Amino acid sequence: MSATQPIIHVVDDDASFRRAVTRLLGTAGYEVRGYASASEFLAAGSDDAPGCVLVDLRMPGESGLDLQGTLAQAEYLMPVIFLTGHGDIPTSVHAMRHGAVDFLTKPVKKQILFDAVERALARDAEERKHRARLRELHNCFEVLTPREREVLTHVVSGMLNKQIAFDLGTTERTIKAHRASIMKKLGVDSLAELVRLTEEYGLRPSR
Amino acid sequence: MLMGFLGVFLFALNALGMTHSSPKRVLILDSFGPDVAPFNVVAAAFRTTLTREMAEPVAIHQISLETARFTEPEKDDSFVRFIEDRFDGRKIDLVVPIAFPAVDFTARQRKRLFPAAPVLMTLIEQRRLRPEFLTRNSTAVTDNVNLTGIVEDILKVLPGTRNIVVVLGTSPLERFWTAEARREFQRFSNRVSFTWFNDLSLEQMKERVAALPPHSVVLFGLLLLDGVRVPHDHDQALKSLHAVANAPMFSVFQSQFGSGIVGGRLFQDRGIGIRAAQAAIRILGGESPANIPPRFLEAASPIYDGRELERWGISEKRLPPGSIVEFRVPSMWELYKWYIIGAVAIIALQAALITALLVLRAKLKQSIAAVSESEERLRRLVETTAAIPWEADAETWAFTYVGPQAVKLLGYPLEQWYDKDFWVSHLHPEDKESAITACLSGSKSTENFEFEYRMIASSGETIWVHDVAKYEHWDGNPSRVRGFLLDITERKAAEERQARSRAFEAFVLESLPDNIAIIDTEGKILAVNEAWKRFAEANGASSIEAVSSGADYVNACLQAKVEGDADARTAFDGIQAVIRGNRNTFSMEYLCSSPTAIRWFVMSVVPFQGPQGGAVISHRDITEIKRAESEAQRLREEIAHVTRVQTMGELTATVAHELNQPLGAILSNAEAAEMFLKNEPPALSEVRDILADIRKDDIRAGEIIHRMRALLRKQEIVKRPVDINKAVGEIIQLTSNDAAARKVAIKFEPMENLPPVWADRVQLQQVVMNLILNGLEAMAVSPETQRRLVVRTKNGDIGAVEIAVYDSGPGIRADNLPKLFEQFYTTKKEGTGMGLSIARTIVEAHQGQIWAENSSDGGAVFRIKMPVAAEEPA
Repeated sequence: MSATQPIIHVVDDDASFRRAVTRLLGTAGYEVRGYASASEFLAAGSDDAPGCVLVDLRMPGESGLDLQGTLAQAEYLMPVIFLTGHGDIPTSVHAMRHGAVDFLTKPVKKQILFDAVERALARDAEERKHRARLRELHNCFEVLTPREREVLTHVVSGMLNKQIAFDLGTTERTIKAHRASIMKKLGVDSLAELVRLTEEYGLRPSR
Repeated sequence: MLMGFLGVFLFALNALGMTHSSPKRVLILDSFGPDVAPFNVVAAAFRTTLTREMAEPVAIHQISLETARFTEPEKDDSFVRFIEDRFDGRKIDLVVPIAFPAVDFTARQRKRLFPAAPVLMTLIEQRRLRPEFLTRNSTAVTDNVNLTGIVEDILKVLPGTRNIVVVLGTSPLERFWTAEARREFQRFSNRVSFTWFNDLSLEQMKERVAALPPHSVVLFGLLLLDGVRVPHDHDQALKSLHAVANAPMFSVFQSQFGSGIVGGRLFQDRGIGIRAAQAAIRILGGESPANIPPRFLEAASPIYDGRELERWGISEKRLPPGSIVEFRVPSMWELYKWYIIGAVAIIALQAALITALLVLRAKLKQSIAAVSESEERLRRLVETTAAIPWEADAETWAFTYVGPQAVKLLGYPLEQWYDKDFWVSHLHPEDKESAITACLSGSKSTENFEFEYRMIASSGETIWVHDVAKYEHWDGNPSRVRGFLLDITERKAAEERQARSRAFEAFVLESLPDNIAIIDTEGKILAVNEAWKRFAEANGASSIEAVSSGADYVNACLQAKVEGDADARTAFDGIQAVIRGNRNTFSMEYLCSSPTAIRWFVMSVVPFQGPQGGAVISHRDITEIKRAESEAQRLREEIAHVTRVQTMGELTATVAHELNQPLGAILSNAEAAEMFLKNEPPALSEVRDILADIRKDDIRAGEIIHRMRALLRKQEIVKRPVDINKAVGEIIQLTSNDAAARKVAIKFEPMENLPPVWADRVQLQQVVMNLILNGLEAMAVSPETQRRLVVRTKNGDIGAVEIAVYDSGPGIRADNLPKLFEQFYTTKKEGTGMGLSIARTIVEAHQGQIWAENSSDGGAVFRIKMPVAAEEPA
């Protein structure tokens, strides 16, 4: 999708640590932005560039977990990596269960940090790709008329035209015309291809 | 005042009518009804006189215009028809309207009803007698109402009058007279006030006249229709008011004289009737009314009711000249004049005889008196002194004479003193023996002997007497005994009080646990208590005498001072300062090594408030207090120390977090530096910055460790069963100084018999102390009078005990409540945000719970729930 350079967002109230991590990630060629608090980060907003968030668990005011919750609510889909001076098991479980990529403890070794960042960026890229494909499919399916959708759900469930016509109270010939229109609009040649695409989009067969 | 409606007019009788032989027909037209006073009085007098004095037969008809009582007759039609029907063309020889409404009606309708009949108006007051009423064929007989004269007369006979209550109703006629009276009475407004009853019901009037203020009078004008439109009989109304009135009543009408009014110049209602009848006779006899000018009766003499004058204390001298008094209350003299004269004559005769006899008797007496005068003088002297003279038989001690004062001594009648054995049987049982013994031994000499003893009075009281007695001897044997008794009960009581007070003072001194000595200005001991003696003994005093009254205390101190005892020197100086008045008080604590123990004492010296000056010295054993103080101090130190210590888990988290912060930065910086060095050329300026950061973070890490170590000193948790009330009580004692300094009253309300909890006592106390100190701080913003801190313990749920700390501070903001126990969370400017977090850690380490709420009456409540110790903790 986008060849934009990913951005690593570092949220930590400890200025010295923030500076050190920024330097380290910088040496690996990442673009890094630092924030002293969760609210500062949220206030800065997002330019929809790919990236991930590296956040300290314990901070005065809004904690790392609070930030994670806020992001999830805002459907802010950037992956989150937690970094903490002391993480107990319940906190880390909570964090991971809510979609954290990693839960790192300070001090963190370079390689572990980089691996976590790479994983996060990969996940971000994957999610972005997935979202783009969904958007694409959505655009395709959107051009179908409501009647065509109805017919489609019957088709992909494996019914014969005759059955479909009976079901929908129309003629077999009309169904055939709908099928042709659907195939054309979705740019597929075979029934198998139609079924795969429909599944990928997540439209459910009738029955 | 009101009255005035009369008027009489005669009209010349129709000449034609005169010639008829049929009875003359007279029509009385009354305004209010045949029975309505005072108008009926006029009608009745008229009728009676006319019937009696008229030579010819006369037919008298009477018709009432009853509606006049209520409204002015706007429409007369039906009434006119009624009269027309009634007389049906029969000739009427004379029309006699009584009072204004009837007069007015007659004037309006006479052309239609009786165009030829003469009209004789009566009871029409001059001011209502309009010119058009008087024609050639009409005349009037009436009287005037002198409103101001009535009030003047009242003020004359009752010059103290301040308030005149005027009774008048609400019919049109009464309204007219009310307006007249109000106008005319204005001239009196600076002398009396007027109260108008027009709007009251008769019942309300009764209530009011029954409770009038002093100097009031009631002027009863006219009452036909009261304030609530109820018609009343005028005379009955007057009587019912008179029955309850607390003030004199006056009225206007002569016909009411005798019904309770005081009197005055009265309107001659009856007289009008009589004079009108005389005028009627002339008219009926053929005389023209034009020849009979309207007649106003000449003023009648003022007339007063003697009973009322007497009742209200009005002197007849005050009555206007020419007044007539009727119903005078006859005096005794008037009633029984001849009886009295007869009786006096007889008495005078007897008196003459008696006087003669008395003169003889007096002469006889004089000679007897002269004989006994000196004896009498002596007797009187003896019997009026405080000492009671007595004389008794020497054998039986029966009194043969006792001064009359003896009655007062014991309360027995004098005769009883002469009873045999009176003296012995009235001796106090406890004194019987001694008194008798004294008497017996006294009998052996002829000298005075004195003794004191108690006697029992008739009231049962004990009377102390002093007896001075002397036996007289006859032939060497005692013949009689005489003496004086003196009541000394008062003196004895005073002596006893004094003795008791002396004893009381001694008891006070003895009861004091302190060792007390009182010294004079010279330093000599005046008095000591028992405790002092024991104290001295225990401290190895050489002898009791050395430390008791008379010993020189200051000198002893001085001696010790010289010997180099530092405490003795201080004590000596202090005592001297107090004795000389240089100091008000002096006190010092000192250690006293007795042979048996080491004890602490405090010595205090205050001035002796007696007239002779000096000082009171007390030594109090404060060893126990000292011991408790040092124990409390030790406990306080222990708790204060532990307050700084956190539990292992909390410390680990804090240390780890704090320390890993710089360590993390160092590691990342170091690794970044390696990368910078690999650059070609190496980014040396970056590396320099990094090294500076690393050094700073390293120092920071060191400081954290140093600080932690200081906190890390003490920390094993030792759980034992803890009596929670005792543990909390200790903390409350420890914090009481802080509380007092912050002007907070701490109250502890423990629940009795709580089961022990399984806890580290010191840690639990630390938590409670933290909560109390927080509460005290929170109340710094509250007014001093409202600072209250309450600690309660109670049974919580099953198996738990609850401790609650209530403060009266501003409470906790709702949005702060959930975060209160988080680390680093603080609402205090200088707080670390650790206190409550540690408290929670400790409580949770004990499987307990801690939480905060706002109490319903403001302020915050912190609650701790601790599990109760299991039966047999492992």
